[in-house]
Amino acid sequence: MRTARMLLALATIVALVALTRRWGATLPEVVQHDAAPDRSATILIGLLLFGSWMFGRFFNSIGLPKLSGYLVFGLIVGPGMLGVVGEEQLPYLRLVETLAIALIALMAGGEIDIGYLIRSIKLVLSIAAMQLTGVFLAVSGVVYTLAPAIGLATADDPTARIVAAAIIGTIATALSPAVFIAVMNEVEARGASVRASLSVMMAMELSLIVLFLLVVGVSGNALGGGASAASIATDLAVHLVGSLVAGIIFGLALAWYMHAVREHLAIFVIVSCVTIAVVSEVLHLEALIVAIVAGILMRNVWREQVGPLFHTMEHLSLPVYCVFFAVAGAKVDLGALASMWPAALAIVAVRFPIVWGSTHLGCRFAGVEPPMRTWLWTAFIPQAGVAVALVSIVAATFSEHAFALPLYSLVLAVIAIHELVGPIILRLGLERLTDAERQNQTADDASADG
Amino acid sequence: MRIALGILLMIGLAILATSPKFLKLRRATVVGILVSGGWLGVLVGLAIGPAGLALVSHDLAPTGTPILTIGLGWIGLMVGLQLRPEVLRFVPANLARRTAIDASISFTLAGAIAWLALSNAPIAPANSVIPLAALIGAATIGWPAETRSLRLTAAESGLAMALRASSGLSAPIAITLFAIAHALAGISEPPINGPDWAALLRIGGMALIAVTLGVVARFALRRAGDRRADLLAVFLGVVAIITGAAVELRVSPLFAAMLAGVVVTNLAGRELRRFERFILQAEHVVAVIFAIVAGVLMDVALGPATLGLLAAITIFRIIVKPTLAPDSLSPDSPTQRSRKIARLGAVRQPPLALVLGVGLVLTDPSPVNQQALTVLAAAGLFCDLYAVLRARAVKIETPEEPVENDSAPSTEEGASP
Repeated sequence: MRTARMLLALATIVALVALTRRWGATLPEVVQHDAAPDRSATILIGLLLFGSWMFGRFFNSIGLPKLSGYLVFGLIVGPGMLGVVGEEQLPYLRLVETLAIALIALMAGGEIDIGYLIRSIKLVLSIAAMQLTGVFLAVSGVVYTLAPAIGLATADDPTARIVAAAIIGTIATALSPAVFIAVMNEVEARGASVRASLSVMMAMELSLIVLFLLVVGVSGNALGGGASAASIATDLAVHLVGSLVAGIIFGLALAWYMHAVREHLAIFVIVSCVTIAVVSEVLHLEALIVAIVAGILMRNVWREQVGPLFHTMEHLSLPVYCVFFAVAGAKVDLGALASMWPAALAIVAVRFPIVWGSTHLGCRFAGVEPPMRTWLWTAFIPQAGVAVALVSIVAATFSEHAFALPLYSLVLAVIAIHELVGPIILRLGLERLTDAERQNQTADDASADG
Repeated sequence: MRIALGILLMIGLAILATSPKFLKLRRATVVGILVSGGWLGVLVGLAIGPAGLALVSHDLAPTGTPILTIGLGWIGLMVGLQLRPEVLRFVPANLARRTAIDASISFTLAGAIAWLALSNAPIAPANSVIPLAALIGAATIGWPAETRSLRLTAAESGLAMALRASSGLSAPIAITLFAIAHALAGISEPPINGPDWAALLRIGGMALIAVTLGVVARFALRRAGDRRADLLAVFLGVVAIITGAAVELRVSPLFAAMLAGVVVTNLAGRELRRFERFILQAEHVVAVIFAIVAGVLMDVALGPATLGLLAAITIFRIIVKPTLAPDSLSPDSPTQRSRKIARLGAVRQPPLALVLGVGLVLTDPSPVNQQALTVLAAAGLFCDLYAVLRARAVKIETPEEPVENDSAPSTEEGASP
């Protein structure tokens, strides 16, 4: 009964917004400005926020992650299905995306304990190295094999075939800290498995940026007209070192605010996240790394002072997740999925066991026992924003080559599958890990009392 | 890019301006007036805007519209949430009558003055005169709820209550009158002759949307429970949908959000208290942000017509408004001092005036609307300085200390409506 009322309320809101927009479209403009945003931007932000919040609760009531509800709601109202949110409105929601990436990365940094990282360096590096190598090689191999069949490259053009395979193999190693943090908050997971997952993610994100710049640079050279080795190295250095330095500066600034002012934390968090996003864009830095470094610095150096700041981020995160993931859902390219699903399924089918196997082996190598060894792999299945950003860069860089368009569609189809299936698997894994860690904690407490 | 940095700068300044350390500065008389009336925010906006250092340009209006529209909705919702029977029941009939008289006289007279001043001004296109007259008329209704600046004594608490209560009643009246007049002025291009009666249909449609959204919001609030994150998601979602619908239907977002607030407050029960407490936490910062935005959007190059309007509005407030001042709610007969203070309190301009002005500029950022915003800000500042400095010069008749109630609710202290 409650679920039926929830769905009725949701249908009412969607109908209300659709009818209002249709009515509004019949009215003349009050004024016209070149820089004016789409008139519908405000109502669509409201629809994506309120609607996905309700749909997330509906998903939760049937045992699925709320986050999947946000994604599916975006998919339903997006251009691929109902079209209440059109393609032309998606760019106006970019501010929310940049804000969300910075907020999520700050929170991710805040969960990384340097002490734990040093103690678990063997685990982190072994999982990251095995997964990166395994996924890259396996997915590249599959794409290389399928390339002529799916129109990526002809059999007599080995260069294009190798380039497409290497690029897709690289993007397949991308993870989604955003999905992980959102599901982690949803199931209130904390503890060693969370710290291990985030540490591996951080190591893999850094490696991915290096690998991606190398692959794109070398591919450009191979296809002609690409960047030189020196410029690739310079780009890498500026990108990584600049992001690290900016992260340290932001971390210091945020910690100073918490020490000296400590007021209006909610608005301060929003301002900080937008600043990180804007500054990173202007200086061509990686906002994700900037915010993660700032978060790590604050949490590990001024743990006591910055505690309220991270609590505030948790409170604020829900509306941000709702819009961020609903927008991500709206962007899911159903056309690409429909045309590329067999090849996309083949890549997913290869990536799954490699992620599982490499995590399992890494845990075994570092002496980690179940249940972490059994379930940790679920953290590395979801893919979302990072992968989309990388494939967009590839599509723009190689736009004059024939493989660009099918490559873009294929990667989007793979991301769509990981985006929809990943959170469900992740939630299952995190619930198991959290339950086990709580039981261990209870047993430890009992033995200490005894 | 410049816009994003501008918005960030404004929000940062708003945070600093509302921090407790800064608020200590308000103990000085003039700073106190500037802070409590929100004028410092306006001056900061002016300093960083095109008229000053040009760190932020006038493009803020079209580019920042979605964010600022949600801010307008936040204020409208706060006004609407106050309109529930158990609150209105406590308003004495005499005070309600006084407020209605003030609203009708102020709106009609000030609106007529503005219409006369602008109808032949070359700066004002024909179709912008009625919305501007409606703005000036609505902005002249009422006075601020903030009474601390007037240095009222404990014996004058009845007067303070009267000023606050009538100010609270004036806000929804001003928002409604402005919204209806603005909508009736028409949105057609070229303008049609006479009122745009189709606007009434759009306002009716907006009311229907507000009722529907209010019912859904009540359901959602129950699901949200006590969780702050869920409350925030529901609140922001409701505000964004209602203000977005208002933008779609060319109705004032402030009015639409107020309608939604009225529906929510009259439908929801226990959960509303949490919701209200929750949104009031940001009241101060939102008020300061709007003061800064007003400063940025102002066009200070006033011509003869707008300068004349400024003089007329200031004189109107100083001469006519005192005659419309409310009586004390105290059962004791009012003293000569309290009568004087009440009259001076009525001279001051409510902070809602600037919010209405910002709303109009966001809808149509034309030079004449930006100059009208400057007229409102300047008239408000003059009247505030005049009234507060004179009120502080009025001798206290008993040896009693002035009321300096630090535990007063935040609605008392800020520049919010």
